[in-house]
Amino acid sequence: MSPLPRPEIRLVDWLNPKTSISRRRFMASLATVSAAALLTRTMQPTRRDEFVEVNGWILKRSDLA
Amino acid sequence: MMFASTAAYLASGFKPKVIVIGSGPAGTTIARKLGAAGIPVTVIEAGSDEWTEESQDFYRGSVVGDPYFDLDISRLRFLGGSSNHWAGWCRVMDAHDFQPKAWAPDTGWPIGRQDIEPFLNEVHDILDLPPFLPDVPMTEDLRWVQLIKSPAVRFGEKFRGELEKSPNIAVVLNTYVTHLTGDGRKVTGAQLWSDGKDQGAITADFYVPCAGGLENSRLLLWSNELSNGAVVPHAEALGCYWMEHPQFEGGNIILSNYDEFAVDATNEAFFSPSPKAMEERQILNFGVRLIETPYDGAKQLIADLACTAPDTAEWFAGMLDLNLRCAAKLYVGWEQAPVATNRIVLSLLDRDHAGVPRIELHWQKSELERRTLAEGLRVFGEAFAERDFGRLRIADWIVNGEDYPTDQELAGHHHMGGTRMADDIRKGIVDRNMKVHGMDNLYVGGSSVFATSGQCNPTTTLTALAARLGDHLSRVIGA
Repeated sequence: MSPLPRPEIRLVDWLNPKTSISRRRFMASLATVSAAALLTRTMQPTRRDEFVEVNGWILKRSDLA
Repeated sequence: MMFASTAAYLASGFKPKVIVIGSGPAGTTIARKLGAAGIPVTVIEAGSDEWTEESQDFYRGSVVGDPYFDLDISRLRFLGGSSNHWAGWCRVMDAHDFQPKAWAPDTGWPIGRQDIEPFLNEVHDILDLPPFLPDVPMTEDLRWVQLIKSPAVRFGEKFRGELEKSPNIAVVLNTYVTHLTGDGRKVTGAQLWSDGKDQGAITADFYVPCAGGLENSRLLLWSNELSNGAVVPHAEALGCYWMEHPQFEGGNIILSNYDEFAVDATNEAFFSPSPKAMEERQILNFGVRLIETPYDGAKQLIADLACTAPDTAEWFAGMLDLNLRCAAKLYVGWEQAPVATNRIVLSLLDRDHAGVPRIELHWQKSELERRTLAEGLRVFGEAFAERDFGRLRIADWIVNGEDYPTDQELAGHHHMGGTRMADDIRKGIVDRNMKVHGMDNLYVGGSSVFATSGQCNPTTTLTALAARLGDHLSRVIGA
């Protein structure tokens, strides 16, 4: 796995409503999300195969591809 | 005509054919219909023409079960009744709300939506409503539905002039009907109380309690107790099957944009399930209210989504860049299962100043409703994902099966049931014409006759039912 790019701002910075951010910086922040988070999610089946429930999110299965 | 006191009314010599108890939306609508048909009607209003602490005190009561509002703040006791604090949100119950649901015991009405539709034009005039818009299917499971935020007609203000001028209508303020007397076939009188004392009884050919979704049951329970069952001869269900519309914050949603469905002037939209979705999931009706949240709320949600589905979060982040209004809070209100143990009983300990036992309300949400809340949100979330309108995150307390929060709105102040409509005398109090089973001259108006609650605010439907009852009584009396 290639190393993640160094973020220009920390995640907590752009969560601050007073922080003005650009789309580029926002994307960079998203890229810092730990891969571990993806491994610890609890996925639950739904009544319809094309959807899954993960941490309360109702997602398309393709969202997780 | 309007009388400020019992004494002034009694001195007038007015002889009504019908006595209506209560001047809220149901009572005023029925009185106006009868008055217009040339039938003399007296409306007895327990309060005055404005709010007073003294009058409200008669509405104090207690609640056993789930957390609920104080009963004296959940309704109003003066001219116009609880329309005086009504928010004005309007929608008529759906056709499927009147149908029985095999997975929910004691559902179904003896009438259908088609029975009230002939009166909806009148309701539009009464409530100052624009035309209703048809539902818009979002998917097979979910519909966009219109909830009209009307100017909230205060019945005492809007119709006071008409009531004062009508020679056929006498409104009597500051007069409390403590109980009805009866002989097991007919009501024989309405006992009055005012100025701190008993004022004797008045009589008419017909009697129509329209005192509200709590007070109708109280009046009839007390009347029955005093008369040894001679006012409501088939009283097994009296006070029972009481219902509300519980409502709680159900989660948040990131939206790709707002153009996919209509929002109202305050950027809110409403959604309900299709009958097919309710049947498949074995749930009751519900309404999701979508309310825009500030920009930082959207950022927070996307950050959360990024831990679960980074690609989707990135896609939404791009949308966020284009459209700042892209997240919303969701509030869910739902139909409450009609359960006999949710009921109004008379307090054994506490009485009001006139000696009438106060209400003890037994109220608890059921497992079916909990499932309706959780599955309803899933229906909504799947529909929005399917159409790529957005992604929903259900609130943690729902996902984790925790207790209902106690710091939220709890319910809608919608008091329904207690004198419900049913063909089966064991399951209801009034028949399809809103006449009390076994009684020749006793009818009930208001949301206490609701057999089920549906998901929408009750005032529009109860006003339509009242117009229908006014029409029915006019024909019965005129025949």
